[in-house]
Amino acid sequence: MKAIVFVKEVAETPDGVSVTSDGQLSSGEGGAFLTDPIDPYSIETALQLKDKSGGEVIAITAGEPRAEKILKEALAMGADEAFLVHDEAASGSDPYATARLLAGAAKKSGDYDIIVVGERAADDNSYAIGPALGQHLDIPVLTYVNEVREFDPENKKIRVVRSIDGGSQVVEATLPAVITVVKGIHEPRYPSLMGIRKASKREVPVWSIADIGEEAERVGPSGSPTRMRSFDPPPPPSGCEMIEGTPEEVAEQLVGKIMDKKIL
Amino acid sequence: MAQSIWVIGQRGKSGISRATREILGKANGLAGGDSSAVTGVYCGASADGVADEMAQSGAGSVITMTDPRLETYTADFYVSAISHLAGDRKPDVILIAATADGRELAAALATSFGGGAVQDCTELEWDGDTLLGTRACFGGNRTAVVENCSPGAKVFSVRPNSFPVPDAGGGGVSAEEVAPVLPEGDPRVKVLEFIPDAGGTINLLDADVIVSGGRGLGKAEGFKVIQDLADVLGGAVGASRAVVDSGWIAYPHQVGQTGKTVKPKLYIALGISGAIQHLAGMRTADTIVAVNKDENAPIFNVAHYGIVGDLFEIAPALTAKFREVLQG
Ligand SMILES: Cc1cc2nc3c(=O)[nH]c(=O)nc-3n(C[C@H](O)[C@H](O)[C@H](O)COP(=O)(O)OP(=O)(O)OC[C@H]3O[C@@H](n4cnc5c(N)ncnc54)[C@H](O)[C@@H]3O)c2cc1C
Repeated sequence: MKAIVFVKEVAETPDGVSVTSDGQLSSGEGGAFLTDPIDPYSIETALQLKDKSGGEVIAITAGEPRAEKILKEALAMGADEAFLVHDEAASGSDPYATARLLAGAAKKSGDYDIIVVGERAADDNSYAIGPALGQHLDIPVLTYVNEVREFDPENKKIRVVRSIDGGSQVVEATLPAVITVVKGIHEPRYPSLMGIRKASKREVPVWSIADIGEEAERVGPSGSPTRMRSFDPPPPPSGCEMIEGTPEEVAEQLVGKIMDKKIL
Repeated sequence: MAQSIWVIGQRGKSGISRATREILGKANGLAGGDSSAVTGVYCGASADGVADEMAQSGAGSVITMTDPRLETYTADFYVSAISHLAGDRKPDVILIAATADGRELAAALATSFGGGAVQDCTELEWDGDTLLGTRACFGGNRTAVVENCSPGAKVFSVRPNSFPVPDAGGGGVSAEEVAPVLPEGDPRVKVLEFIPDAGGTINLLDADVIVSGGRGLGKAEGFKVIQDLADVLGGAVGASRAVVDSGWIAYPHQVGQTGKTVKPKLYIALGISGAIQHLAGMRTADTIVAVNKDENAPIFNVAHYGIVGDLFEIAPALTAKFREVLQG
């Protein structure tokens, strides 16, 4: 069994983040970066599939060289291999250009049974990677997975529970498939000290866009279909309207305002 | 000539979903009221009544594609049907409600056109001929205005509740039925079962209404008044860290920097002082109501409506009034 987990580095806070003239997020240099908080859940999901079925877990990210750090965290948790897709031409990729890079990396890493990613990234919140991978690789995608009920790489079948609007949906798909996971699917394990020590000594191979069969104009800003025009803190609230009176009067007024504004 | 806008119809509990109707209304506005520019597109096992409902909300024409394999949404079949139709008809813009399935469809469909979707928009507006979507990033700490430069149709998903439901009018449109182009062979994805959420266990992250309690509740039993108000609003119960740390309620209810970041339409904070770490998790809620006995509590700095008073008097009065209004 081979599982690929795609992880992502995100800025710890949006404070140092800006938008380039190409409309892509730029994290600057100074800020602190961490693994997207959803990623440990993806890694844990893949590790549990490996615990049951044997095989290997491969962690991949597309990003800057410093993102090696988050791959080492994946290795420390128990991933077997890690690869970094990095290329000058790919820097400043939107989620859709990134999905091309990741699809290329998946193809390069050979026959996989499953790809696990987070439902969305904490910085751009784009909900894009999973469905886009499904299209590029022409395999089924199961989004918002909160439980893997059955995973049978022998017979190329997976059964999951998706958490969607209003309830849960039980879905079956053929393997290979992409799943996107929600927090709460499993409690992520902590890396062991031994794991951390071993991971720190590992070399992380770097793949260029040529290595994964991509071309410069299809990735980076030129290959990015979505462009931010602005990126600002939300406007401050317009000031608080105090409501006064007896509890009944207050309730009457407030409920009236809320119903009038069609908030409900 | 106005750009042609497609709205992908999703079904709700009865008929076309409320979110779809909101988007149809908005699409009509974007077309400057020229409903001939707005087409409702519907996939399903049957399409009874769909054309009328979509037309009443602002579609000038409706295309339906029916097939037993389209009964339940799956990306494989819906992307195939819609992308083939779009290849023939070449719409300029495609709008989809940003439900779980809607976001999946938007991203997959846009990728199939060689582009990308602008997801989860809360506002759509023209800049000349270019449609821009406004959306939240970094858990609501940033707002981005995004242009879609995709080749072909520009796909946007739109957060439910972003626009008013249009008044029903017009109608009388007869649907154009098109045979969907679907993948051959055994489906790769099979939907086996849907289990509706039991009432009350609504996920904090998706809840439209959150009623939160803090140390002002005095003790664990104080949560009863919070729960009652949440129940009548069909909302979820949130909490400050102080009360989670005190063991009055479980951690999954915690809102804030070290809890959940939420963005409901309505957030009611009772007996919560408004520490910066709590505000980090809820300040982007659309409407914030604060109830606190201290008129100087910092929560009033972010609230839209404030009530100074004892929550044990205010909360039951609110519950009673909402019950009267909502349940008749
Ligand atoms: C690193 C760090 C992370 C943190 N993360 C979080 C987090 O994720 N979420 C979070 O919430 N906090 C967090 N905190 C804690 C935060 O700083 C506050 O201590 C906490 O939010 C206070 O909770 P509270 O508002 O319920 O309690 P208090 O601050 O004690 O406020 C209680 C309020 O209730 C009012 N009150 C009392 N009785 C009544 C009554 N009968 N009717 C009406 N009002 C009444 C009082 O006037 C007061 O304003 C964090 C702190 C740190 C240091």
